[in-house]
Parts: sequence; C-alpha cells; structure tokens
Amino acid sequence: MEKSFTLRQKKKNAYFLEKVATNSYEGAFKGRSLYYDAWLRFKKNRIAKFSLVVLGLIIVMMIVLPWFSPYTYAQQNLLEVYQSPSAKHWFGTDSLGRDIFTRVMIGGRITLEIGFVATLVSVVIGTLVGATAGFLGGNVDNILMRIVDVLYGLPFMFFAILLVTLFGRNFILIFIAIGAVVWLDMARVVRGQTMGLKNRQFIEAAHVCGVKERVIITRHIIRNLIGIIAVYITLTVPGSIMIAVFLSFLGLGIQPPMTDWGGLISDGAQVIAFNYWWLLLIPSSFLTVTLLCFNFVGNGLRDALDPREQH
Amino acid sequence: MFSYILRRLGGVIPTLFAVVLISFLMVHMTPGDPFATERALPPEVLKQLHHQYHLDLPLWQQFLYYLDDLIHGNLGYSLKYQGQSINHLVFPTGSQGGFWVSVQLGTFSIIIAGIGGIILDIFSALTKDTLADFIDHVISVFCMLVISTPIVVTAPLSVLVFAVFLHWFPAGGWGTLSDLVLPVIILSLPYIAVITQIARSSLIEIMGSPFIRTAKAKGLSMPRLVWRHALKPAMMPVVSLLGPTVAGILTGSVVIERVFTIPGIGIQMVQGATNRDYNLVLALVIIYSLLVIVFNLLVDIIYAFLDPKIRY
Repeated sequence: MEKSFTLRQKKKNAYFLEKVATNSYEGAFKGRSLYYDAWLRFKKNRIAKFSLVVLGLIIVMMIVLPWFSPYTYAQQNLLEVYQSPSAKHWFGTDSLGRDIFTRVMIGGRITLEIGFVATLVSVVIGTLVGATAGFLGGNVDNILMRIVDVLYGLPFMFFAILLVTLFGRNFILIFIAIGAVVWLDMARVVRGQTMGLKNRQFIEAAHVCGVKERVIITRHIIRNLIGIIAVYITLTVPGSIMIAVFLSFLGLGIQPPMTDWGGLISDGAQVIAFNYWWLLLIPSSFLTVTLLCFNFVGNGLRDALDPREQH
Repeated sequence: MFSYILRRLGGVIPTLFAVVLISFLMVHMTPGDPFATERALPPEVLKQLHHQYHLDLPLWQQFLYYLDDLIHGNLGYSLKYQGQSINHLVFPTGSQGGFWVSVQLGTFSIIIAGIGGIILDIFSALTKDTLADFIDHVISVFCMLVISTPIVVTAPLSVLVFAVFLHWFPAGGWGTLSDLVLPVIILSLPYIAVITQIARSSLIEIMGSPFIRTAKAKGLSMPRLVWRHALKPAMMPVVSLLGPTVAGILTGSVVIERVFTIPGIGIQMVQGATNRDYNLVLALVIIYSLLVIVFNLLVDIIYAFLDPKIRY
C-alpha cells in the first residue's frame, strides 16, 4: 500500500517537474493573492468554518422553510393556544394559537434583513467618512474625527428611542437609527488603515502617474481596505442585530402581527411565569446561535487577514 | 493637571449643548400637534395649553425657554400626565423609584463588572500555558459565549431558571437585597467578559516584562507579585474601557428594568416612548447623556491621575 502510494507520488512529481521544466504548467508559477492566502488560513480555523456552515444553514432555512409551512405567521387559531412543541406544531403555539415555527422563520428573515441593511448603511457612511478623513488629513480629518468623537460619547440607543418615539415605529426608520449608531467604529478603523496606506509607494506611484485623487481613493485605497471592511461587516451585523432586537424587545421595533426575534423573545418573556418555556427558549436559541456564528466568523476572518496579530 | 481638568470640563459643555440642541430640534421639528390626538379640546383650552407649554412662540425662543428651565433644574411637563412635572416623575419624593433606583442598579453593576472581570482575568492570564491551562480555555469560551448573548436573552432566561424553576430569587421587584442579585449579575455579565478579555491580554503582556522577572527572581510570592506589581499597570486599558461600559450598562438597564419590573427611569423611558410623550423622553435622553458624559469625564481624569506616562 505504502509502496504504491509513493510510486504514484513519484510519478506525479515527475509529471509536474516535466511540465514546469517545459513551462507548460501554469499552476506551478501562478502567484497566490493576499485574499487567497487568507482564505487558506481561514479554512484551517475549524470553529470559524463550522460557524460559517451553520450560518449558511440558518439563512437557507429562513428563506426556504416558510414556503413549506402549512401556516402563515399571522394565522390565529384560538382553539390551539399555548400548545407545547408537537408533530403538528414543531415549535408550539403562542397566546393566539399562531405557529411558532413559522413565526421564528419569518421573524428571522426580518432580523437578518435589518442586520444586513443597517450594516450596509454603516459601511457606506463609515467607509466614505473614514477614507476621506484618512486620505485628505489636515483640517478635514480634524473636523470629521472631532464629530465622530463627540458622537461616540453619546448614548446613541437613547437617541434611537427618541427617533422611534417621534416618528412612530417605521421599518425604514429602524434601519436609519441602527445605521447611525454603528457607522462610527467603521469610520475610525477605515481612517486608521487609510492613513497607513496613503504613504505606501504604490499610492505615490499613482500620484506620479497623474491619477485623480477621487480615483485613487476609490480604486486604490478602498480596494485595499476590502479585507478590513469584510471583517468589520461580519462583526457589525451581530451588533446591528443586537440593537434591532433591543428595540423590538422594548416594543419599539417591528409592529405586530409582523415580528422579529426580539418581538418573539419579548412575547415569550411576558408569559414566563406560566412555564411556557418554548416561547422564550426557541427564538432565544436561534438568536444566540446566529450571533455566536457571526462573531466566530468575524474573529476567524480577522485572524486570517492579519496573521501577525493572533489572539 | 488642574488645567487639564478645566480643559476637559470646557469640552463637556459644547457636547452637552449639542445633545440638548439635537434632541430638542428632533422633537420640535416633528410635524403634528402633541395635543391633537386627545379628545377634541375647545380652542381656548388648546390655546391655553399651547401657551403653558410655550408652543405658541418661535422655535428659538422655545429653545431658550427650555435651556433656561434646564439650567434651573426644571425638566418641563409631561404631555401624557398633563400638568405633572417631569421632575416629579424622575425624582419622586419619599417613595422608592425613578432616577436614584437606576443609578443604584448601574453603580452596583459597574462594581460587579469590575471586580468579576479582574478576578477572572487573573485566573485566565496566570493559568495560560501552564498545567491548569483548561481554566484559561473555560474562561475564554465563557467570555465569547456571554459577549454573543444579548441581555434581551439572558434576562428573561435567568428569570425562567432561577425564579420560575428553582425559586432561588424573586422574579422581580425592588427594595431587598435578593431582588438585586439577578438584575445586577445579568446586567454586568457582558462587561465582566469584555473586561476579562482586555485585562487578560494586558496582564499577560505585563507578566512577561523584565520588572516582573526581577520581582520573581527576588523571591516574591505569586499573589504578592500580582497584587503589588502586575495588577496596577495591567488595569490601565480597563480604566479607559469604563466609559463605553457605563454607556452600555445604562442602555442595558432599560431592558433589565422592564424584565425585573424595577421602577427606574428606564421603564419610564419605554412608557414615554410607547405613549409618545415627547417631553418625558426628551428629558430622559438628556439625563442619560449627562450621566454618560460626566462619567466619561471622570474616567479621563482618573486615567490621567493613574498613568504616570501622561503629563499635562
């Protein structure tokens, strides 16, 4: 067995050697990009890889399973209230006899949507502000960062509550409120990275070639920031989800009968004294597992992209 | 040093002014009459109400009136409970409740977060790469788990387990010591984890530095070494972390007060938001911001005192 293996290996090596020698095997000389290297390192991180698979499963579940459910999220059945999990209702029913399985899936869609959209908002604002401040430096940098510092010192959640008080519970408003809270981190990180990048030689070369500043920012700076932005996206999504859940838990988020995980947990928390554990535990578990996976993937990405800084 | 404190104080005032201005404008730029949703009021009563709440004046005059009231410690009048002053809601006389309850809850939580974090980080840092390595691993996993679990999950879960199943602690209320245990622990849990993570890496770094090796060579016992020499420099990053911690604990206290039915200002804030009582929410936003800003100021001053490398 072992002999045949080494024999095969030898043959393979000889094949590669020949190809390399005749310069006809492209793979032998193909360079590996920074991001491909990072991907290889990421693949070695078992927890991160496992979390990525779980996250994918959860997202697919949220999208696909509601189609096959015989119930809708708002369909009430007053004959079947507070049923514990069974074959008919996998996750039980709530105070109005609504199927919790369907509600958790639909609520998950909303929660993840809010997480991704709010993150997108924060990435756009944060990257633009951070890259501009870091690249231009001087007074622009001073003013922008001073604004970020002042905003940083404020308890933003309370402003979000104030916004919701004023304009009612509006879907778009929740995105804006959350996006406004989470872009500050992004701006700081991007600014720091940009300041490091802008003195590198390839940027100088671009200047010498007469590339416009706007193009340097969009094509050279932001392209090189993609790694760090990816890390922060995976860490910002759970942050935004936490804020969304916080608002819905207080009854200031999505309006019933539509729901999200925060609303479901809040419903469960209200009947906790009567031992209806599934109403609390099931949405809580989905939320916690999702957040954990995002955090593990984010940490894995960070370690993969910046191998010097191991935690 | 003194001039540094003065300068930082000077920086606080514009921030506070910005808070008041932004939140005031947000409230008063909103279209709609705050009394319009009530039963149809006679025009003269409505006019009287508008006059009482200064709503008949131009915006900048309203703002000046509001600032004047704030400086004199008057937070204005609630819209929901008409005629009742917000001062009375936030600082009720005699009875338990309002502002001081929230401050107590927050203070206990910060203390527990600090103590818990420091103890855990010592165990974690000192057992790293030793035979008792598993302690470090357990603590690290615990931290990751706790940081990823929002307070919205842990608070009702703790009620379910410790109050409904085990009957160890009451499910809610305020006043006795046993009422305090669950809310304070749950509120401080994420910050115990954050402080542990930060302090662990800084303590590991300090333990590897030459002056610790010297102290070890001198024959100091481990507890004395950690307590006298390693802990203080390792705590510097933790002190700078206290500012965001306070903001987070205050935010979390809103959820905690709701779950454990604690009569603090967090619960008033949520009720105000649900009833769309602008004035109440506005006043509470300003109070919370004031708390956070003042605490950040204190942290900066403490930091400057503690760190011999910073000279002003």
